Amino acid sequence: MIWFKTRLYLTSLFAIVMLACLFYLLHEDQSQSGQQRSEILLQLQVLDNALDLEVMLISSMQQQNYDEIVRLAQQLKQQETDPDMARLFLELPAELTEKLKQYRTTLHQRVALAERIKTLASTARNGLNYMPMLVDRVAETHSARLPKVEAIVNLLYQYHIFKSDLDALEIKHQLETLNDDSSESIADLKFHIQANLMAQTQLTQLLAEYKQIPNKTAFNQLYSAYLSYRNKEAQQTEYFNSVLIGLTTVLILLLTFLYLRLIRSHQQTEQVRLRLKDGVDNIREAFALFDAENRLILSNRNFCNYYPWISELLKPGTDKEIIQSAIDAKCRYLQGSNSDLRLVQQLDNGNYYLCSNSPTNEDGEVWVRVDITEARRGEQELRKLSRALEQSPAAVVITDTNGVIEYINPKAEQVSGYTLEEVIGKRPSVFSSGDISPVNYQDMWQQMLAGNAWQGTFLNRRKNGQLYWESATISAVRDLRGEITHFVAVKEDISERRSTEEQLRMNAAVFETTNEGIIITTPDARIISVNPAFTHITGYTAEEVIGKTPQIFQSGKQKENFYQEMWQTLEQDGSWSGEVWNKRRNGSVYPQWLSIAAVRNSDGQLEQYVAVFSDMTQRKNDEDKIRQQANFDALTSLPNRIMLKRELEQIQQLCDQSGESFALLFIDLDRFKAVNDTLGHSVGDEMLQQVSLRLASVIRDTDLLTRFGGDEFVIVLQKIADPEDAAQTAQRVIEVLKPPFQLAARSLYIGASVGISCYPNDASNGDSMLRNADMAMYLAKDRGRNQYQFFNAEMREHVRNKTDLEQALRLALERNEFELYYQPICNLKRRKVVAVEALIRWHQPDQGLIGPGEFIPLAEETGLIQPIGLWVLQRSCEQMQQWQKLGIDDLLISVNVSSNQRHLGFDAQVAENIISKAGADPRKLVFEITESMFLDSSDEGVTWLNQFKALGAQLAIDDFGTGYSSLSYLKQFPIDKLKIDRAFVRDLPDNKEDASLVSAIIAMSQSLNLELIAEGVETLEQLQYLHELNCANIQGFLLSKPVTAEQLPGVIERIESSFPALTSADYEI
Amino acid sequence: MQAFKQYNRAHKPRRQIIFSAVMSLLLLSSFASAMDLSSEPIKPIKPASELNQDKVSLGRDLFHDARLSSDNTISCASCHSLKHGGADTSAVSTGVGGALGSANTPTVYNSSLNFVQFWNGRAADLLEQVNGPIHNPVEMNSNWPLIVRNLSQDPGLQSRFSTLYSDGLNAGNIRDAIIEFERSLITLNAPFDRWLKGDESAISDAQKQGYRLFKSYGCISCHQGSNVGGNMYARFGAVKDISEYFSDRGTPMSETDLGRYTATSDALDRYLFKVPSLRLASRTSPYFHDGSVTRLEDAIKIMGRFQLGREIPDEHITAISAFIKSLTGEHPELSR
Repeated sequence: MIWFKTRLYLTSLFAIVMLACLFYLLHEDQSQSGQQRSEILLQLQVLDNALDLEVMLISSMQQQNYDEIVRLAQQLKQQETDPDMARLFLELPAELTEKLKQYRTTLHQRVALAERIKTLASTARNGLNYMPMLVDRVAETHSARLPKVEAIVNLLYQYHIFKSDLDALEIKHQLETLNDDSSESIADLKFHIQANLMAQTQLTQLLAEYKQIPNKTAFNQLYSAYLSYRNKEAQQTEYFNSVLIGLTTVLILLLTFLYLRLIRSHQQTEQVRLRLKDGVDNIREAFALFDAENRLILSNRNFCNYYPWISELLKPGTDKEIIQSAIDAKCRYLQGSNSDLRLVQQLDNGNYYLCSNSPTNEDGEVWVRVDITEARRGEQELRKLSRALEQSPAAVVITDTNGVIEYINPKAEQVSGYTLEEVIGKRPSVFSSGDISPVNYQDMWQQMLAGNAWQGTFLNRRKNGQLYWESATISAVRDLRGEITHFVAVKEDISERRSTEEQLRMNAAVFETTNEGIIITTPDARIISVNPAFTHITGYTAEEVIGKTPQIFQSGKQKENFYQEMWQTLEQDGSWSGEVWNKRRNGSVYPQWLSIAAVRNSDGQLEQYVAVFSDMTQRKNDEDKIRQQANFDALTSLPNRIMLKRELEQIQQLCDQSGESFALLFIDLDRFKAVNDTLGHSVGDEMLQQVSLRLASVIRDTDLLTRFGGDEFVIVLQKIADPEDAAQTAQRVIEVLKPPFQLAARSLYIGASVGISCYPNDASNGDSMLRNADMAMYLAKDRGRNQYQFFNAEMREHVRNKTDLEQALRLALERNEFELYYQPICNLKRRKVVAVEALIRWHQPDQGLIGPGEFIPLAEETGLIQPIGLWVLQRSCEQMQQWQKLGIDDLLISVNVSSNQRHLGFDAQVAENIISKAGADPRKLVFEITESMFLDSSDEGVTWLNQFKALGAQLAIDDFGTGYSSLSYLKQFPIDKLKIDRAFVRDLPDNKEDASLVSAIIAMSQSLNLELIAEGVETLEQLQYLHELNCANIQGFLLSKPVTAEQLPGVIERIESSFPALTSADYEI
Repeated sequence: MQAFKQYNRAHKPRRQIIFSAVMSLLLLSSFASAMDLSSEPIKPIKPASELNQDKVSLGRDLFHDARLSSDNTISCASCHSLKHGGADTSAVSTGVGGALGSANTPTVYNSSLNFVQFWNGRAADLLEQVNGPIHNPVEMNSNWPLIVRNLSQDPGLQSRFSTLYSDGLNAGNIRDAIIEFERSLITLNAPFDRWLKGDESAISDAQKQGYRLFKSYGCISCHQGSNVGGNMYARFGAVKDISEYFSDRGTPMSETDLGRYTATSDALDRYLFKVPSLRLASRTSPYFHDGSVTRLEDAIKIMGRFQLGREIPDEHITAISAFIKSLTGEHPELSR
């Protein structure tokens, strides 16, 4: 509006100013050049007049210098030639130009005449000037003529005053009177007067000529012509002025009229516009209209509300592109529908506008924006809900009021096994398992139709027939009037949950009741939970440790990198187990067997660690005790025979490497049996202790003193240079034992016999050294007490006998001189003979029946153990088959396997060949191996054993307790049974040490889940004691000595029948 | 506008009356103290007005610049020797290639006061006059394009023109500068002028006597005004047949001798010459249009004979000659 008004005003003002300028210019131009021309003409006239004046003055001799007339002539000329002035007269009418030209011609003529007048006037003046001088000369020369001359000269001056021809005639006449006088001065006078008269006459003529030039007329004509021209011009100008004024008035009137018209029409337009704007403003949509030049014409209030940040731009005239880009800066476009024209804007504030840009008839554009935010949100909401429904972990079934299925969600499809298409239009009974569901459907429908939500558990049947538990909540959907339109059942397959809960309950029970401590931690090792066993073992209550890390249990006994390796293993394998020394709440340090497992969720994300541990204190103590007892003599604390043999092997190896020798002294006390028998075991034991002390005093630190058994001691002298060194030591031994022993308040005298064997001279290994030394000792004893004896040639002869034996042994296999005897193993709980141990016997043609102790060591030594072992296995398998035929089919057969056999190539493959050949069941075989097998704890050894397990056979450790292996160590091996060595059983139950040892073995075997067999049970007390200690199986003469295969069924029958009242039987080997 | 014109008409005469009255009063007052010389036919020379000294300096260099001639030998100053009274000491000047001119060189001093230029008045003013010698084959024998081309090769000159004239070096501006210089050649402070201004001792008694004789013999009729001549034509032999002069001269008649006739071909203009100024006459021997007379006294004598019809006695000639010497004013170029 303002712009419109301004434009109108400006246009009007401009028109008026233009008119004024035109008016002024016309007038000004006219008047200026007119004025200049007038001035020039006037100047011309002035110059013309001045020229007249000057010519008059000159011709009347009154002007003596011509500078002025020269100046005038030059000015006239300049006026004519000056280009500025000439220009003024260029555009005049031809008539006027002609008049000017005429006038100028008169001026030229006058200037030219003036020049001549100047010259003539000079001549005339010249004469007059000279007159006085001439008169003077006449006065000097012809004074008589002077009056006459003076009269003539006076006449001349008179003539010059009046210019009268009368005077001229008179002068001429008077001059003639002077003709008679021929004097020079008179002649001169005459000449000059005549010349003067002539000049004056000519001058007068020229002057007349000059005056005749019609310059005045020409000027008047010019000037009047010019005036009339000027008047005409002025009239014209005035006429123009009037016209202009008229025009201006008309224009102003017109403008006023137009202005009023425009104001009115503008008001009307404005009213229409306001109405339109009001209308447009009050529609809900945003609206903007652009003209063909893309300028904004109109936008409504909502357009500003829709895009508040462009409110500044929403002025009519703003370019469309500017508005568009300002809007685009804060929104993005989504394809609304398939139509290209309708886009959806998404604003940064989250609003959605549907955009429609349509062309108008005048090539402009109209924009309409519809706020569809709510609808969009609704859609979004619906989409979200339907998405939720689709992804819901709960099965959803929607039915109409009649119970006809309209929709089931994917979870429901998955749970039921039916697809949506399959169940649409059917009733939910398709999911039913029949009559076995615990739901009262009648009650359910009543509840639902009453509009109540119903909750319950269905036992449904999947499409594949599988039953499943489903917990369901069914609620009614009502329309706006409150009428029920649909039922929605939200169901959950709780089968798994049910079983999981059961599992959890079970796990909780285990957690609560197990004897093993359990710690559960977060991934960063914060304790979450511990079980009662934990508190029992560590002394810490759950409250004390939850939130802390297991570091509080650390004893400081573990090596630095121990935990690092532990975590590394945990990370790599997901579990770790091992022995750890930890600290209890009371500060005591104890060993525990700790197994840690990382628990990961289904995504593989670490969720927690579970640590299970058992208190190994008891076991550890037991192991230590076992090792001690196994390797050392309890009485003297000296290494025992077992350790000796092991040490010998090592010493032998060292000597082999260094090329040195060593000697073995076998010491047997003389008369000790008498001491024992007469003074009792306690005194004997005390004596043995003192003996051991005395013996220790005579040897070097590097030497080894062992109690070989009973009253036998063995000393190993390392690095002897000469056998004599051994002899000296032997002598010292004899000497040190000679003094009396103060025991039982008396002095007791004993002696010692010493046998010496040297390595490598006398024997090739430890066993043969012992044998040789033993042999030498017997010889020494035979030669009288307190003697020592080197092994010698005679003894070598005895060895040769052994070679004979070896030969016989080889033949024995060929001659089939071996036979297997079987000793029953009885399970005390089941009161049943569960197994037999196969034991070999040799029917030597010369010596009769020989026990294994006499030939097995030799067989081991010579390698004959391999064929013998194979024979034993073969025979056992065959026998198993034979017994089976007799109906004895639940009997296990134990077969001994020595470590040498393994080295000689015996393995599961070999065994399997034999077993399958015999057609025996490998599961009924037990391979008895010795602890020495585990000296080699390599993977190879474990694999070797595992292969036997793989056959299905069982593995038992024979003579357990004599080795030094720890029980925890055994856990790595696939062991099923332990056989407690007869040495530990022999003195039961009287020997307390043995008793505690056996009970420890029993406890541990139980914790390791190993079956236990006690060997060498000979008395009922032993049996009962073992029974009390929960040792399940026993073997020994109490039940039966080894018997032949034919005897066995009878023996078994006897044992089992006599079980309730087992009495000692005959004990013979 | 009409009113304004009427105002002018009405007031101009009145202003003149007032002016005349004041002047009369002034004159009356001066009568009391000194002689009244205000109506003497000779007036003191007024200095040139509104001179641009830079243009004068440029004009002076051009005046002395031989590049204005076709063979770079002749400058304006070659003939108008400024220290020799602005004229040539020879009867006629030598132009390019040794060509001889046809008329005696008039002085360049005070030439701007002449009512026309050349002996025969064929140039209305200096502007027309400059073209004469430039093109004259026996003078510079050149033309403006050639001169402009030659001078344009002088960068110093070009820059001087550029600073003085918006359109730089061209023929019109060369002429303008030369004329500006010529306008500066006004001789001032002549003893006679000083006498006219009231310095009674400025001229000697002999000179005063000469002046009186100069008037009495009628010389004053033609040699009047501030330039003592130069403002009218006069017939050579005004009162006596000039053929006697030519026959006495001993050289044949030339076209130049015909005077203004050569310019107008009007029989009345035969032997009509511009009356030369006598301001430098004492220093511009030889005399007359043909330079045939070397002594001033002889010239006065010949003038008396042919122009005045008198045989002027020698003692009068001497006095007149002394008077003529008092007309010579001062100019720096003159005394260089």
